[in-house]
Amino acid sequence: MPKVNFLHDDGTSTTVDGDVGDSVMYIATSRDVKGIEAECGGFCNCATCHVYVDEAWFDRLVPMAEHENELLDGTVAERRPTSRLSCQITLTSELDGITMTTPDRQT
Amino acid sequence: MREDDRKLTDPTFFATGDPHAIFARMRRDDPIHWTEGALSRGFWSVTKLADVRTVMMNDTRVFSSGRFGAALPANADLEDPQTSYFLHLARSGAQLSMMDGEPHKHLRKVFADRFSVGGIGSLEALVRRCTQSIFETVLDRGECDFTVHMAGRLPLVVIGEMMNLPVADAEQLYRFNNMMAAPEDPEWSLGNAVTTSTAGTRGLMEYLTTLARERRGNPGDDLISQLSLAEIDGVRLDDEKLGFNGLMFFAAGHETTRAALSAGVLELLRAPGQIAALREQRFNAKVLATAGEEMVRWASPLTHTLRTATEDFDLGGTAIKEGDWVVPWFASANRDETGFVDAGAFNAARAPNNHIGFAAGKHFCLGAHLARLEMRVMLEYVLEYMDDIELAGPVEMAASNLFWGIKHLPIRFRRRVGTGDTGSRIAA
Repeated sequence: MPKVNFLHDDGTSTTVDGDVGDSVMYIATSRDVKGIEAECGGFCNCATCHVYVDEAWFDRLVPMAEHENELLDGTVAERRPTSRLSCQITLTSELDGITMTTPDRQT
Repeated sequence: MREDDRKLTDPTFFATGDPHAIFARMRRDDPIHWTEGALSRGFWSVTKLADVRTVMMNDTRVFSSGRFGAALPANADLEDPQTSYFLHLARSGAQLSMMDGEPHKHLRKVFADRFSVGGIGSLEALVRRCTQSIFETVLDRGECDFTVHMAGRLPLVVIGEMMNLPVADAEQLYRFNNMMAAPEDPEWSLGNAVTTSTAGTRGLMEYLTTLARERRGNPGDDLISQLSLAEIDGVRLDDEKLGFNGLMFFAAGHETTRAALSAGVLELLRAPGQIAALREQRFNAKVLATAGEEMVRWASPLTHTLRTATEDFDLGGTAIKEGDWVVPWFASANRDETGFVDAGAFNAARAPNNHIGFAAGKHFCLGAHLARLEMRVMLEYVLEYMDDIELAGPVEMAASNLFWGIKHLPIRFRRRVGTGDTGSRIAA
């Protein structure tokens, strides 16, 4: 199973195994990874599963759709060039080891 | 356009007219349209999906829900907080949906776990039990008013259980709620809109405030007890906040789901191919959930919300000024041709479906996961136990430009013998 690494703003980190085909948001919330809230349940509607993807991994992701881009303009924590909504990142075997940082706040 | 403007601010137009034709014209000709209708002031009608999303994602930062409330007044008589009790409450920031910033965030957090995917997931057995009981009452009759007896009944019973409301009081509360939500509707009106709205709102407020104060001394694990113990900045909620938030849970808990389910089932009985395909997959939760999302897109049970700009803002090239009213029309955005393939067609298998029927951002519908669960289970039972569903009379829409939805959907059907896979077979 591919691994996903979450770095948190308090300096701690969490590594979890995820199933190929699941969204990173689902993997995080189903394993109680802190820092991901996902109030809307993965429908790209709330921008509370915001993450900063490690630069080395960012370009390997499927580019974001326009509505994700619109939502990222409304995140509570600052938007950065590597910001994504984790509900829109689908885990593949090529993403084994992907690293991302959770922002200091989602709401 | 002026005639269209007037219609959008006239709740009675929604009972018989076709708002979607107006929205289609606005999306084509003037998608962020300065609207001067029957109210004492104009507002920006935002009709395209991307612009509606932009407004919702700039809540608090640029747009306030608290300054003038989160819905257009139903008519000019209801614009004065001195005479409209509902408006007085709305503008005093007494309810979660009409709060901004940190206080909103803190109060929402109180209920976040209960309404999360996991929290609502634990209610599936309850929702199935309630659905089963509704079907036991209706199935042998072979006909019913789907909206009143089924689609409206399920969420009402479930929210009643979550709030631990005495069953004997449910009908009266239902009536109060309709008076408040659709005061122009002849079915609920006491004569004029202000009197009706105020009587309904006061009835609900007094009932729920009293209940919350009682439970504060002896709390259970129900929603009203949780509300009674909630604090903002270390201070417990006053009577208006207790009553108005209780009212929100009660109203939001059933009106919207009722509308989505009714609109969806109406479309399904008009589309034999779609209902047959769904029936084949009736125990596939994912397939039913997809259909539920389309029902919400199609119905847009909450047609709009209201925001007030707290600063000048460029919305898609339109200059919004500080203090302007901005009305994102979810009902229009969900039919936006640039947001959905074949937007004007109901497609129970639609994917992707990035609709905005539950709003977006900070005020994303707190009860969305509950609505999704109720729609999925109700749909499963309909497909399992009802066949040859057909209209048995005229469909009636509510006279409301906010909670615009079907209020009567008379149907006839043939009872199917279920397989028992819904949990427990309903005895024939």
